[in-house]
Amino acid sequence: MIIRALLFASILPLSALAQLQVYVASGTAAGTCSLVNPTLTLVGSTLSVGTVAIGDTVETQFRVQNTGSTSVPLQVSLSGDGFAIDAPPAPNVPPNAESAFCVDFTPTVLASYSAILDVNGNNITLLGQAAAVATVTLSGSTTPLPYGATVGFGSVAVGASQTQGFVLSNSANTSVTVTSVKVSGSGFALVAGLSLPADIGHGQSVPFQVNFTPQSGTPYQGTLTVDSRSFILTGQGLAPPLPAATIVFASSVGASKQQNSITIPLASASQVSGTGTLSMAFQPSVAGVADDPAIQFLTGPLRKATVSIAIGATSATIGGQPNIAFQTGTTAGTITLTLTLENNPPQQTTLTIPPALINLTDEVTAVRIPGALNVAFSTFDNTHSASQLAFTFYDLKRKPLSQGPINVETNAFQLYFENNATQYGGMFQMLATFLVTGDTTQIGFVTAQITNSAGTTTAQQIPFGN
Amino acid sequence: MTSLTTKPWTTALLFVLPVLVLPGAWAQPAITPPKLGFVEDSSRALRPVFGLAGNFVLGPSVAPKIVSQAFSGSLGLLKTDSSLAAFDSRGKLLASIDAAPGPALFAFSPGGVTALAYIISDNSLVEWRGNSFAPVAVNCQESSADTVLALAFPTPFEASLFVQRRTVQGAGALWEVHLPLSAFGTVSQNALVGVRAPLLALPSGDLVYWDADGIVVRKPDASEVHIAASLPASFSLQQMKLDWVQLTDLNGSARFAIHTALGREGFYQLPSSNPE
Repeated sequence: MIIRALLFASILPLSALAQLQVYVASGTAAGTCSLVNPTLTLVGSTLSVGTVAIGDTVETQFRVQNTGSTSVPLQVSLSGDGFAIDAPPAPNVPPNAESAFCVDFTPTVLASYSAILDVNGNNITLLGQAAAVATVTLSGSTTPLPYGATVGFGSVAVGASQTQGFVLSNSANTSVTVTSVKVSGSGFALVAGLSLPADIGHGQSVPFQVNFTPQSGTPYQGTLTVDSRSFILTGQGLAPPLPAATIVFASSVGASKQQNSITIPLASASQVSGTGTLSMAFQPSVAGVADDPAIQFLTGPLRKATVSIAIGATSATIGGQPNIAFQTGTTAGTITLTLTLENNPPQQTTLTIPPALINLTDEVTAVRIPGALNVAFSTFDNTHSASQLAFTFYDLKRKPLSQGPINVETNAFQLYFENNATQYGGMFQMLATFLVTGDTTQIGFVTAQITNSAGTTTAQQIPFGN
Repeated sequence: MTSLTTKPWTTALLFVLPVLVLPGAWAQPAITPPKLGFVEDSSRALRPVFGLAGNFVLGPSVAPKIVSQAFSGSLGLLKTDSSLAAFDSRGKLLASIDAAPGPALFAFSPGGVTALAYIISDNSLVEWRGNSFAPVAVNCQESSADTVLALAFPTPFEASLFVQRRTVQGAGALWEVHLPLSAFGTVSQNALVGVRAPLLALPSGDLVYWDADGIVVRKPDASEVHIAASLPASFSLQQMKLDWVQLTDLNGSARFAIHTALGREGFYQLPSSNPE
């Protein structure tokens, strides 16, 4: 409620108050009968509270100050139509302190008003004047909206509209003219059709409408101003929830050394925009291994991507793209993707990378060098447990040499993984060099066997090159 | 009769059969991280790449502010805005010379130990002879309308330039121009039908270019292997190992790797992630 106070120029001393002095306060309203840093003006024998539209209320705050050194009882009463004490004062005013109270003026008919405010037996004449203005009521109601009243439009879905009807009416005996009706504030709009200025005769009325169309799921506030009188408009935008989103792998087969990708389709076209994150975590199933750094998104931050959903979209973008690629690394375990969208509980999808045999087919070379043979593999062991090797050499006719396989039990892999797994996961390159006595060109092929905890792999015969 | 010693002399086997390890074998571990070569990352730093097809890890930067680079598997060349340098497989600088600004094209000999660099801005050719750079006096452009797009170093005595000849109608056909690197020999040329830039010539004789469906590897016998790929709108190609090619998105940060080995061809995305 707005507090207004006017002070007439004539100020008379209030000797009967002894050590009490009465002030009228003016300033910015901070609530019911409350002002922020008010200006205080000493009150005389008469005080005008101003001109007020019929049905409106103006509130005036008084402050009684005790300049003496003892506490003084305070008695306040009011008599007269249209006036009422809103917030009564405390019964006593402590020394060097003040007590406040408020008086409301609410005219109901077009007339001049007066009342006597009695403060400890001393009278102050309060004067007020009713103005002939059009009253504002909600459609379907007969109760005029008081000055500063709040009109709520309720909760409205984003993109939808709620219309509120208003009526300008005249209960005075004379005609009134409304020259301005304005609506301000995002989301609120005056519906076209009201012709201004509008002359409204006694007993007549003029309807108009205000629309509320929220664009986001947030609270809204606006103002309806009819000539010099304002009313508060409020509404709440209701954002529809984001449609259900799903994490979809391009390949659902969990395996090491893969480049996979993720899309996030939506259950339906989204009616709202939204953002979120897609994060990746990896839990190795290999004892003593904490992570595999190759398991990462191939663009943006290593294991976190921004997810965005546009209005009308049927799938989310990830890092600004329709999909995001990632690597599955070379360590057995479980990759967990967590999608977190605004106002939705997180959802998780996992991709299990099972322990695998060591592949000896992709990057294998066998070459002759003077006096020796080199056999090299570039591959991975996602169990980090390789321990046994066996090599069998063949002549040019693919017949095994008579000495049979060379078997090796080694902890070299264990040492390698202990020192390198945190940087390179389970991938490795192995070079085995074999001294040869005699003509190496008579050795045509080699096969290799390697064993890890998932089993034993035997490579096909690998031809020697030079 | 040929026979094998029953005990190979690698470190891996040392613990089982140590008496057969030869002196010096200690210096090179038998089990190492698999190194794929070097790439230029999105911040123009030269970084080693470790990994296998489909699983890559970038190592720390070994050189900043790279304009062009290539790696043969044992030798690398890089161009900064003001220098041309050679580096080894560990990223260690071998030699460096001043060079005209701008990018360069590189080609390695089949053995991967000698190489050619073509400096585009001043139309010059420089040879890496295994231990130092030396200028090569050849005319790389018959006319200013020629644009050199790629380079090959098939023999120690010959360079091949892949040029696009402009016509009044615009970009013309691609030609492979064979240039002798000595006073002997003659210039010859042949048209490259169906090939379009960007392209890259590998020491193996493979020619890597692109079509609407992805990457094409044309073998020396003219057979072709097509590798399906979704390519950036604008890109360049650099050799990153004997049979690996880096594809650089010129409009973005994406980097890709093309495996050209026969039977193991593939197109992969290289990590361009940043730590969170």
